[in-house]
This record gives sequence, structure tokens and C-alpha cells, in this order.
Amino acid sequence: MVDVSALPTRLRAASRGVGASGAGLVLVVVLVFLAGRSLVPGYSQPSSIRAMAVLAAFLGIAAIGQVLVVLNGHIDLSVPALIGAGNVIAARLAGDGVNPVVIVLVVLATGFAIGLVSGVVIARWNVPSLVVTLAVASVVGGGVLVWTKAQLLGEAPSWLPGFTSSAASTGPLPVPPVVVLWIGLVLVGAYLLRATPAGRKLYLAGVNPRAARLMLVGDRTVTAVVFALSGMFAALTGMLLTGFTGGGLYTVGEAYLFSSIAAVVVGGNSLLGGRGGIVRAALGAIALTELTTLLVGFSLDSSAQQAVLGALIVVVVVTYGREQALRDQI
Amino acid sequence: MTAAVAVPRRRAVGLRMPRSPLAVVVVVTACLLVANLVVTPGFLAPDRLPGTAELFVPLALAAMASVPSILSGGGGLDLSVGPLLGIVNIVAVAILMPAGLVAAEVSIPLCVLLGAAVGAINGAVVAFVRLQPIVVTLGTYLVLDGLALVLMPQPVGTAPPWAAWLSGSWLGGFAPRSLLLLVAGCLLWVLARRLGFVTLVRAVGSDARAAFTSGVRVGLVRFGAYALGGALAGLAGLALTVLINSGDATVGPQYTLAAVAAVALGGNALSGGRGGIAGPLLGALTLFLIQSLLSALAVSSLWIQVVHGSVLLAAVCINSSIGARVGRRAAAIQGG
Repeated sequence: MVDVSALPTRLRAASRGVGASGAGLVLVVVLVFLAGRSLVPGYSQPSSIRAMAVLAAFLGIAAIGQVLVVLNGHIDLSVPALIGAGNVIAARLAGDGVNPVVIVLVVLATGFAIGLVSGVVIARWNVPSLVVTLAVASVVGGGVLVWTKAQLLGEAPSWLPGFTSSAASTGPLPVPPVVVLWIGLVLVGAYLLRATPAGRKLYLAGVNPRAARLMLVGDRTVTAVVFALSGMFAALTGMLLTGFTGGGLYTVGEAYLFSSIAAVVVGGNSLLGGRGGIVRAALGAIALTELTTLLVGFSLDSSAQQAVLGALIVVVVVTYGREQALRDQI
Repeated sequence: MTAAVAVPRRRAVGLRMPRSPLAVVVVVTACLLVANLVVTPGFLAPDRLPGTAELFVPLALAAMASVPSILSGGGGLDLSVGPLLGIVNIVAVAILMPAGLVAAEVSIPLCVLLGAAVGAINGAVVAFVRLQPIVVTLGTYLVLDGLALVLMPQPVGTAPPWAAWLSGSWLGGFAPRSLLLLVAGCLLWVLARRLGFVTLVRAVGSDARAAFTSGVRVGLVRFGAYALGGALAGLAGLALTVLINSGDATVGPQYTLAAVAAVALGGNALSGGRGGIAGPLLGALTLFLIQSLLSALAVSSLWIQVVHGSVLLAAVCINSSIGARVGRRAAAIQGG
């Protein structure tokens, strides 16, 4: 709960650049929405909000895995490849008429296993995660390419379009199930990170791996597990995306390479590890989706859109994500 | 990333063990070179050398361009290197050429300056606005990549005359002229080292607070590091223009991750403060040799990604497992 009386101080602290301010981030999410509402006709219509929520959920679920890795002081570039793999596997199995429960389990287990391989290599041999995940991405992406012969195949599991369609609702809630799933994952994840020893270990290993090891916090196990989880969430995102692609499309993850990292850093998480959280990544995913939708509304062509998005990301993060000045850190 | 233990003194590490991580990279690179020579006996023949050098130089310069920002620490990483290569290529072809600025002595310095200017913008935002480098350079990445496609939606098949000249060679093929750009980049680095700037960047990268309390102007040094990286990326953009001999907005961005991978393969700490350009150059050579080996073996285009990833994984594991063992032994000797 935010202490209201402390809010002005916090905002002032944020404007001075004392770490990334959570209140500032929430404010930005609201302000971007209001800007979109006044600039783009139809931006705040229920259908458009639902569509944005679904897009944010896809990005947000992939970003949960990425933020866990980032909190641990690493980076995962294999997210797009695993999204592609999850997508293709789900579509292929659904095309063969496999039981939905089996499909979900196979997709999650595959993502977990591939992520675990990266994590173990990184932890065991002390190799830069950036290179390892880049190499694993290349192997997985290439493997999927070989398997599918670069063609669209299979079909979306029959229950999935209803799960991810922006017009769907979850029981009495007027929200698509995928958004509910995302919010649930974020809340559970945030609770686990805050309240369980395992969660605290993750931060500890991110802040100072050497100290963590000296305190007998197994940073190798932590690293292996966070990469496995990141792989699992990426594969899950890929499976959910079959509702959009309508079949196994190995390139579906490409857009998520930088956007999963952008969601994490726009949320004010430090890439140096140990600072931030899952909720921040979720807010980052929302802010990013709002900005993208805003630009689509201006009917710029896609390259101009991208150029403006790049500048906007920097401008937005300036308002709340400035680092402390060195003279104040001593 | 486990903080690697610094190795100030390397003594009596063992006879058969390589003495520094760099030695391991040299061995891996040499093995790959031999493999290339076995598969393609004429790999270094004078008729093929200019083409080979042309392919290698942009990657090598892009790797060098990634070095200063990573070295300056604080999560330093310049994702915009690749698109900067692209935008320099496009400005040289689509803006300078129509404006009549085709003379080498005018357009080459302008391109390097353009790179330095973009680097300086990154550096200013990182150092003085104090945003995380990855946010800033991701922003620049998107801006430059978008801008490149706006300026040149379709590839343009002409290039300035200096590009054709640089793709030639002297001594009947033994001295490709494209290596001049690489030499220029190395000279720029040597100059920065001679001026003491590289030492300052390392100091800032290994402990910004300690550097600050010792009177180093940390912001200014970080700013300079990004500008230097930008200038090197400008040179890389020229090399890219020589390679593709046209203007193409889609080629540049592919260099970003390859460049960072080369820096990491070369044994520079991605957390900053350690390393120079020799390692990254060897790392770039490793990546390049893997690629040329795969294309010489005529690996099916579907499999090439799988093999490339596996070899990269093996190379990085070999490099760091042996490097780490050297580090651990040295640490044990010091009682750390």
C-alpha cells in the first residue's frame, strides 16, 4: 500500500533521480492512456481496451520470465526462439488431435527443459548469459526450422482462440481469460518473490552473487531455475499465440526479442540485477502496449512508428527511471 | 553472472594450462582457421583474400565499437551499434551521394563524425540524464532502424566510388584495402589509450564510486566512451558499404548481437572494467571463421543455424571454462 502522505516526497525523490519510482511508473501508465484517449479516436472504447489488454498479456507473460532472469543479473535472448518453439509444438500436437492437457504439459515441459539447459551451462561454466542464450536461440530456432521446413503447419488447439480472443470473457468477468491468467501469474509470482525464501534468494544472488555464495545461497541452482522458468513462460506465450497465428509459425516470436526486454526495463527494473519486481515488468508491458497502440492510431507507417516508439521509450523512462547521481551514492 | 575474480598477478599457474583467457581464444581461433584451411585449401589465397577481408572487417569494427560502452560499466551496453552501421551506410548512399559529396576525403570523415555524434547522444543521455544504458540504446536502436527504413524503403544498388576503391587490393591480393578501415579503427583505439582515456574508462567501469572519489569525472568519461564507440561504428558502417557496395536498410541491425557476442567470446567482462580490443577482435574472427566454415561445408540452409549455435556454445564454454580455471587457480595462489 502506498503511503499517501509520503507521495510528494517520493515524487520529488523520483524527479531527483533516486532510483526508479513506482508511483511515477503508475502515473505514466495513466497519463499515456489519457493522452491516447484524447489524441486517438476510439482509444478508450471497451473493445480497444480489451485488445490492448490481450496484447499486453502476451508480452507480459513472456516478460515474467525475462524479469526473473534480469533480477538474477542475467539476460535471456532465447525468448523469441522459445516462443516460436512453443507455438509450433502446440499447433503440431493440436493438428494431430492430442489431448489439450497433454499439449499444455508438453509445451511447458519443453520450455522448462530448454531453459534449464541454458541456465545450467551459464551457472556451471560461468559463461555470459547473453552469448549462451543467443547460441541456444540459434539452435532452437534452427531446430524448429528443420522440423517444420519453414512452413506453417498444424492448427490452433480448438479451445485457444476462445481463451485469447479479445471478445471473450471469463465467467462473470468481462475480461478475456488470457488476461486473467496473466494477472494471476503476476500476483502469485510477486507474492512468491516477496514472501518466500526462494524469492529472496533470487534477489540476493542478483545483488551480489559472490556474497550470496559465501552465505551458502546456491546461486547456481537459482540461476538454473530462473532460466528454466523463463523458457517455460516463453513457450507458454508461444502456445497462447497460436490463437493469433492459427497454426505453427516459427517466426511469431521475433517481435518479442527486444520488446520483452523493453517491458522489463521500461518497468524500471535494473539490468544489473537485484532491483525491481514482477509487478514492475507487468506495468512496463502495459505502458509499452499503450504506446504502441497510440502510434498505430496515428496511422504512421511501421518504420516511422518504430522510430517514434524508440524516442518515446527514452522520454517516458526519463520521468521516473533516472539513476541516483554518483555524488549521492557515496 | 558470477563476478570473475580479478587476476592481478599471473604466476606459476601450471605448465600445460594457458596463462590467460586470451590464450584460449587464440587457440580456439587457430583451430578454426586450420579447419577452414583444410576444408578450403585456398582460404587465404590472394584471389579470395580481398573478399574474405571485406566480409570480416564490418564485424570486427562492430565488435570494437561495442567495446568502450561495455568497458565503461554500469550496465553499459550499446545495442544501437548495428542500426548505426546501417544508417551510416544509408546516409553515405542516399544523402551524401545525391548531394555530390562523393569524394573520399569529405564523405568518409563525415560518416565517422555521424557515428560519433550518434554515440555522443547515447553517451549524453546515459551519463548526464542517468538512464540505464540498455534503455537508451534500445531507444536509439528503434529510432535508427526506423529512420533507415524511412530513408530507404528499398535497397539502392549504387555506392560511392571510394567503396569500390576500398574493395580492391594491393600486392596482387595480399593486401586488401578494406583492412585500411580496420587499421584506422585500431589507430583510433591506440590514440585513446595513449591519451590515458582507456585507463579512465576501465577505472570507471570497474568501480564508478571509487573513480568518482578519486577525482575522475565519471560522467564525462562515460560520455566519451559512447562517442568513441560511435566513431568506431561509423568506420564499421563504411566497411559495410564497401561489403554490400549498395545501400540496404536491413543489413546493419544484424550486427548488434554478433558484435556483443564477439566481445563476450573475446573474454571481456560484460560487467565492465576488464578487457581491451584484442579479445573482441579475436572473438569476431572466431564468429567469422565459424560462419565461413559452415558455408564452405555447404551445410543445408535449414541446418546452418543449429550448427552455428552449437559451435558458438561450444566455443564460449571452452573459452570460459579454461579461463575460469586459470582465474580460480590464481585466486587460490593469492589465498582468495
